[in-house]
Amino acid sequence: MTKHSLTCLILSILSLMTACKCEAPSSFDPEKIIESYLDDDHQVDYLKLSRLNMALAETGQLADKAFTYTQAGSDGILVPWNMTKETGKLLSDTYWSMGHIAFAQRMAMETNVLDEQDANPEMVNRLIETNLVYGAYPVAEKYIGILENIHGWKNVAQGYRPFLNNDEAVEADPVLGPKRSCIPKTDFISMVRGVDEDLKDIIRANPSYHKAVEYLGVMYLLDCDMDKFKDMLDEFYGTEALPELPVSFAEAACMFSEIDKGYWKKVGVSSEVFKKYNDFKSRIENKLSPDKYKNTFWYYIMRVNNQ
Amino acid sequence: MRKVASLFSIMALIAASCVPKVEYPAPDAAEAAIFPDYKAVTVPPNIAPLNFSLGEGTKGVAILENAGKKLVLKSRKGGFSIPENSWREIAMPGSEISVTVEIKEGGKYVSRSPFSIFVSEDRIDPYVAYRLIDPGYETWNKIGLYQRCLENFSETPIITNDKTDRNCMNCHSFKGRDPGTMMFHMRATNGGTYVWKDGSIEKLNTKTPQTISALVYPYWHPSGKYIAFSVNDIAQFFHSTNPNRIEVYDYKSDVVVYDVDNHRVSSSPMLMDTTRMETFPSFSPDGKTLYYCSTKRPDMPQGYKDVKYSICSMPFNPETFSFGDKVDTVYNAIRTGKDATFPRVSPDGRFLLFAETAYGCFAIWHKDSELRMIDLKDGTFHTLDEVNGPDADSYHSWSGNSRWIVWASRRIDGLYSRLFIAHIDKDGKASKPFLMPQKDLEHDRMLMKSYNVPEFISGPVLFDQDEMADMAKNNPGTDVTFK
Repeated sequence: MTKHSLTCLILSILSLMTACKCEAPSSFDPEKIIESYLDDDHQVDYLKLSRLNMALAETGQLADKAFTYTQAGSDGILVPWNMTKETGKLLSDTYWSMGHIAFAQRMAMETNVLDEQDANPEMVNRLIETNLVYGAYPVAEKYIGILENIHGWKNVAQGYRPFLNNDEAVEADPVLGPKRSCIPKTDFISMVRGVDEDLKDIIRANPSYHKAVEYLGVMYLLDCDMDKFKDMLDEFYGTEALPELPVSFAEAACMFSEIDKGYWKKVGVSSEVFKKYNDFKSRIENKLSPDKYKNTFWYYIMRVNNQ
Repeated sequence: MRKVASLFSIMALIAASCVPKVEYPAPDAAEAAIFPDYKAVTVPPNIAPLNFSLGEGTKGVAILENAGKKLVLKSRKGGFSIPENSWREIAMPGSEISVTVEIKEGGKYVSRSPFSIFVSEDRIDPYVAYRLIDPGYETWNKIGLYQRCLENFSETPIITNDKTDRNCMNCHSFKGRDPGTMMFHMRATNGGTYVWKDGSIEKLNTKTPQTISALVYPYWHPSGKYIAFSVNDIAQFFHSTNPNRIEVYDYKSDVVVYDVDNHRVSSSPMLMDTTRMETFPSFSPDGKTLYYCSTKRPDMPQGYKDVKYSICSMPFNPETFSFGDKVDTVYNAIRTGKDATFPRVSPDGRFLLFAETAYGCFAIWHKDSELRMIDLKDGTFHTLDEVNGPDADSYHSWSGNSRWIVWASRRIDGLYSRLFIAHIDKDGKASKPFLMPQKDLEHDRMLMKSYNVPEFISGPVLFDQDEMADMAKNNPGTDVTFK
């Protein structure tokens, strides 16, 4: 082998390795997203905030820790769809995290269409996942065939083949199985009644999928919709969907004691949390800084009311 | 010709001599699994070769025989690509091709049960026009109108939206399969209706104060003087659980007829009934009858399952541009409990072809949608079981000789529409359909676009894309008025 051909060979191997690195599927790492998130209470980047909230949800911390970060309404969970690939992909990921299979699939389709390439591997991957969840195996197989032909994705694609025409395998899979259980028992028109009503149907279908109830409650709190939040507690508290209240839900529940004195006890809020709530109120009434409660829902709602 | 024939025989002979010894099938030998399913299909004599695949990695031999002629093909990448010249030799009009597939198993070739391909004497229009579009949802990106020569594998763009600022284009329609007289719409940027006729292009602004919307679903009058359109307030929603995925529906709709030379639309009170929705118009081949679909208007979207269109007809006088005052119900949705859309009468006037589904106006999204046919001579209802598949069969059109239909079907994967073609004999009997053949055997499985609104045409559309794009961008268009 000549020196020139050896150089060419090394260069081709290097370029191949680079290509693999660039095109290999990126894994969603919620811990890393949470760790690297820089909170800025002056300027909100909705895309980053949405990724953070999704990472919190995926690690089971959304309803406990959402208000330890500067939040900005439910747009910080479901970013407005502005017909871009970036928001489309994020929305597909968020709906998937919520267990809203129909809209995870819809946004994957929309985003794939917007891609200049004929197939965006991440979105084709989502189309495989959602179609396997629905049991739409022929089209899932089509997408698997397409993903197998995208450089760097062959192994990922082939990993789905055992699920084709195999309901048992889908239902036993730790990712696909719970999502399939999230499919509402009766059909409805997605998003026409609002995402909250869709989430309620998902929770009713799969009460053990706690991410859905966390998203639902936190979105109500982010929009300061206390009536709907209370309706949600009334329906789901004490059930498999919401056996006990996470931090932000407990904080919000304290506030109902203004109209129903013993409500906080009914929903299992600890006296310690209720005491903190009274301290927060007294600080406001006495014009003392409430900043020690900066990480609470009470502080968030106060800030929103003052804006 | 004789020279070609002898060359063919020599090639076949050479190919045959290369094939290893075959184990002949037992009487109950299994059939070979092939894609597309071309077993026992009926094809026109002028169709492109029916290439087919055994599946990736499968090695085999295909032997095509017809009236003493024999063609032997070895598989390549699991499939058989039939040379066009050889196919022409063997696909003789009014004949039967016997196909035997031998699959290599453990070092020897095992023969499968042979199957037949029936070659009709009835030719098919040489071209089909369609739109290639993502089967979606709200966004679009790359859209184009294309034409495919059915006699070979040549596909060329009629117009693609990379020339028109990536806008949406839809609803192409031809006057009786004439590639020289057509129209289509562009939506959003450069919006308008574009008419190509007598060698020139015209841009129209078709929303009038009296009509619900700009002109939507078209059908040319056979004279070329008129185009029937619906005007619709269209919306869509997404199902949570339903395999149909999407529901496209109208809040309201009417039917109007556009006078091509005078740039005006007209209608009848019966086509603009505010208590009902009228849509999907078409004309009879003699131009004297206007067919359309009509349903009561439920509260939408909640009442979407109550939308059940009947097919109606009313007289139309092309001489006076006037409508009759009597409506006939050709298909009664109340009686059937179902829903019928896209009435299309065969050019010989004998059969009315339509899509039937449980409800709704957009059959393409309904898995239960099937093609049906009414014999207008005696009212006989044909279920067309031979042509319908397990998934949505919808938008359909007739060949010029009334012997072939082409339509969009989602039967392959449940989502991406592909074009199927079937023979209909003079008595309305349908033959097993075939998937439009492709040169690349992976084409239909890998393409992430749907074939949409297939229309036979007698030749290629020849307008200049750049001229059309220039018209779209720089011409303000002619305003259409309401008579």
